[in-house]
Amino acid sequence: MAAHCESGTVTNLVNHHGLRISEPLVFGISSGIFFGYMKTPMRDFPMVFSRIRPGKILENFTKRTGVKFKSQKFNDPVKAELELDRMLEKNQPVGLQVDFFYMDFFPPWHRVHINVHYIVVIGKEDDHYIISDCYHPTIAKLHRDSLRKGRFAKGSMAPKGLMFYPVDVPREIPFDKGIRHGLKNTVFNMLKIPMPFLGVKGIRRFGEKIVDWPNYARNTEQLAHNIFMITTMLEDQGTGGAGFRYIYASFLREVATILEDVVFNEYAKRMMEIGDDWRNISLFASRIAKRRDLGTEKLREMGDMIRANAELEHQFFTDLRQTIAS
Amino acid sequence: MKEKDILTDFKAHQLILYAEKEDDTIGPVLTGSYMAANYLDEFHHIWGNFEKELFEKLLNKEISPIDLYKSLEELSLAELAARSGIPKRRVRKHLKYKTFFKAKVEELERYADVFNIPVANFFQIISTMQDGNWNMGHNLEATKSRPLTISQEKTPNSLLVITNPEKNEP
Repeated sequence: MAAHCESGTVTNLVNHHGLRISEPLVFGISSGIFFGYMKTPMRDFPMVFSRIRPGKILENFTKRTGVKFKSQKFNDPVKAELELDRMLEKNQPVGLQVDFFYMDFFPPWHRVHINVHYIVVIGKEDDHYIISDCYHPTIAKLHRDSLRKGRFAKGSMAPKGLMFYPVDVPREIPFDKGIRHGLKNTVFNMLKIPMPFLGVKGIRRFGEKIVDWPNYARNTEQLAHNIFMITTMLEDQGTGGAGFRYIYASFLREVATILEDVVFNEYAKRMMEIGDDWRNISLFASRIAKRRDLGTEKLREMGDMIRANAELEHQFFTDLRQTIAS
Repeated sequence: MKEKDILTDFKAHQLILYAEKEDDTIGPVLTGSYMAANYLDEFHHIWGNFEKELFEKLLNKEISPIDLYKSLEELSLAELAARSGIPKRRVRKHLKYKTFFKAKVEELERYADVFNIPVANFFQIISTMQDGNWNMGHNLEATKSRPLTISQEKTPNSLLVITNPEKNEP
């Protein structure tokens, strides 16, 4: 198992090829931590996310470490299946992007339509593929029809049959360069993207707009469900806890060792504390949703907690920018 | 967060969280989901009420079966249109009971593919008696305790499904 599907899948694939690297290091080098708050026509409720765009972890990791992956997309499901089978015959585990809804080894209440789930296929037995899924405690089996549906689901961020696997993994990688690149990019993403709904500005917007959520809901039950989903997004959807803030703290601890600079231990401690505050927001959201105590006063209180975290993250990333610039 | 504070006993939903360990490192911890352990019943309660509300609307001809499954799978109109490849204008029509009848069988097949159900399920609700109420399901534990398991088997003909009721062992 791993905390997050994309960073976990990349970690598992390169570990299989002999490169010893932890999931937090993959996540941090790839600048996985982020924040965004937006309303799109594809969803009835505003979307909150705490990681970078799906696919970017693989892309950034490849650029910043020199590990080479072969990635392929397909229009034809039959060709996609044949190519997958061909790689499995060579004993090559393969990473796939799928719609999580069709991963029917999970219980029905757990499955939602989300086109950006990542799995590793490690083998095939008759009509079933053998799957290593970072969110499933054991190796699972999936019927080929379900895998085909998952690989070729349409809609936003459709997988289009994406498969990938490492083709060149150096035994030794000087991680310090990748780490510095990752830190700089993370600071830029959190502080400098000129959009009012991304990075720290996205956290502020989330804090301001949460009081408007009743306007999107048919009734209190639907509002309660969506407030619960904030907790799910921060804690349960493969974040390592507190919307990826804990896994990022773990990355900063590794940075202190690799760069031999204890100042990053202090940053790790601060990031853990910021994570604790996000967890408190999650628990608060669950409590008010359970009690259906979703009046303006409670939502404003929650908004204040979120805005306070925005200021903490603003200070954190401003300090981190100064440290890496010096 | 310390490791001891993060551990939750809930086998049905395990995940990896990162926490401070006793040796002062920050590392992965395998634990049950706090959210699922404490709020899953509430989630089922909200969802059960939502299902009942939708089912009532379907019975009263206020919504179409397409709207029922779209709502259950939390898809917006735009997302359903993109996934099914059917124009938004037509999807909007198919969500209403009165104009649902204008949908072609080929379009129903496309919707069924997105919802991962047989086409036949647009015209029937398969349910078993549970706690004296007719319930559409979603509660796995409750489903297991039912006297009957009803499974649906695919056939090479995508419009035809074989429904098998089987008596569960006591």
